[in-house]
Amino acid sequence: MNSTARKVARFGLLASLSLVLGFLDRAIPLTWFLSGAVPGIKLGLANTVLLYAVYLMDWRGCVLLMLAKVFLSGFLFGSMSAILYSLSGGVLSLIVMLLVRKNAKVGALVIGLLALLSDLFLLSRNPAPRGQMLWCVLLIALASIAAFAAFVYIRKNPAFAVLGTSLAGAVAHNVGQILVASTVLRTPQLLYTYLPVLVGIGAVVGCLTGVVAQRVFRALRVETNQP
Amino acid sequence: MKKLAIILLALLLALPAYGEEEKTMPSGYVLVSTATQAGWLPLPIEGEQSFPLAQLLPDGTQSLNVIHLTPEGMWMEEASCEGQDCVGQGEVTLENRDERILYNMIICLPNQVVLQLYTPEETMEMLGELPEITGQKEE
Repeated sequence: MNSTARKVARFGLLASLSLVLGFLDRAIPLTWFLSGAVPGIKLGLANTVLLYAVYLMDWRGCVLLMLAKVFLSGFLFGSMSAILYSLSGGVLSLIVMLLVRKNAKVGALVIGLLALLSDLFLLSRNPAPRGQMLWCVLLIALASIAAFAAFVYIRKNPAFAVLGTSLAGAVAHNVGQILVASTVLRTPQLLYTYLPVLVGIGAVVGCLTGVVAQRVFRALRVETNQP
Repeated sequence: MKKLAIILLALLLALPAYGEEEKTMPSGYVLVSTATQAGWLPLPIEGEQSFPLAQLLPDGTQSLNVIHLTPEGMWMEEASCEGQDCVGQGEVTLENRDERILYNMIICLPNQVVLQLYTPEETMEMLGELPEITGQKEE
């Protein structure tokens, strides 16, 4: 098979996979497990296809795949709002993943430090956080711990670099979505209520999907080792 | 004696009026934000109210959210969105909002609606004055 045919086949396979996983994402609403407390939480399996693309294709292919995923999935299962949130998350997530692809270890470290700093900032404003602020502090601390754990793990096992890329992509996806949602709905309050929740959950889910992706890469014999 | 009687009469007349004035103050206000507009709904003084919010979304679809208001708080009674996450977020009151993950908010992302519950003092701080009680529909 020549290289163009291989690229087209790979693109088609990943695009169809993202549609199927998008359907699966909708079938497993994590919101149920959280007693409806946080809306719009998903496993993000469809986004892991972008993670594969980051390692298997060039940046142009990745952008095309992201657009195909957002619009096809949006027109088939979602609405215009879904496309808007998905596109904003997809763009930021892809930019971050392409940036940290070469050094996922540093990506995880930066996410961990950013989360730690924002947690310390919250704590300095609320020496004894209670209620909702306590949720924010705990969830951002969770993101920070997950990111530092990923950093340490990648240092020990360079083959697990995908873990860092996945984590950074998942967190960036949620940040992109909330930035657009708060602008569209003219509700900046979402940045200090909804965002910490999504960053915390996104970091944990990003680690889980990263582990799965690493197994798939190993089976596909794709090289993801980091220096 | 006549003076005292007049003062007592005035006090008796003023008392119910004072009580009445206290009862007309809502315990909180709901800020309703959508992609195209934002507005305030006061919580009812007594009884319960449902406020239907119909919108034409940017993609041309018609959406509907029914906001249920009680003297203590609010919840999303009905929504035309597929996920129904907003309906599942339960009741927000001035008592329980501090303990909720999303604080004073009920969010319906597909229909682009965010509800936030504030005390009259917080509302005053944000607006400089209390919003007028208009646009409420009683069931």
